[in-house]
Amino acid sequence: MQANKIYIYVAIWLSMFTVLELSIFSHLNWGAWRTAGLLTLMTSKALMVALIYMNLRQEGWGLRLAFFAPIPVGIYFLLFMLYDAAYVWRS
Amino acid sequence: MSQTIAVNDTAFKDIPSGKLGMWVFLIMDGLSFAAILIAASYLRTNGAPWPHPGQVLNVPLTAVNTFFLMFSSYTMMNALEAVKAGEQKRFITYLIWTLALGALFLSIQVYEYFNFIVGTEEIKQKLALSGLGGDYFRPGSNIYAGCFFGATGYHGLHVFSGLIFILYVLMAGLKGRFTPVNYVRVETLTLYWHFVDLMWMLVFTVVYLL
Repeated sequence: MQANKIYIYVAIWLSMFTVLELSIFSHLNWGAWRTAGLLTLMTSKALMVALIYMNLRQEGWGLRLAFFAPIPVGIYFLLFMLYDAAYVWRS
Repeated sequence: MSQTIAVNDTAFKDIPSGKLGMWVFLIMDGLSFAAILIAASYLRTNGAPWPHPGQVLNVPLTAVNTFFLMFSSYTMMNALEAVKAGEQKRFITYLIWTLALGALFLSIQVYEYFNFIVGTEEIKQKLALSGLGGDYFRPGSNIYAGCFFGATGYHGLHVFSGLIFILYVLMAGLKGRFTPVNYVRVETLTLYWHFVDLMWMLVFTVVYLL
């Protein structure tokens, strides 16, 4: 597929995901499901930008490893801190 | 067998040093953003006064702003493709579009900050309804405001730096310094701009929507 076509498709997907995020934000009040939905959409959008716009999918494995390796550490760090917190997610 | 050895030797696929340098910077910068967002999440879960984002922040305006930044990523990508194809005029046009959209994004953010810091009647009402109280919404007003200004301000500084970078590349482009075989600087700018867009996706969700 032509590169320009892929970029316009990504732009459309990103817009659709953002509209979906805003819909969840305004209409959905299912607590944890709402948070999970928003985080899933956020991750999908971020991955699309990293892999396609930043062209990470065509880079060498060394660069991909350097980019993705800190993410599990960040998640572990967040969970580690939340474990110590008061578990109050106000919204 | 020799092919396997060759693949192992090109873990970075002979990436130009300038581009690799930008990648290393972006990975480290991403960790700074992660630290800010994790700190905000920690403070929130630890019981700091934290209203629903829609009660204080202007979510519809920021959503429109998000579309501007996302579209600027698309125009930046087209600028890169144009320079690769040697289409100078198209390259300059798309770069100007990116600059304009980035400037628009930053202007709207400044407008939002101005309303918060000066404290309009609407902001006062919103603060009263949210339970935070007070006449202004400033970085030192409360923990929530500190986290908001910390995350969005840090991102805003990145957008500002990106605009200066775009302007610099635009000036060089107008002098015809980029060709289909010499465009590494445009590629590093593209990487940086997409990174700014990517980080905004995280900031927008964590600060404005969750």
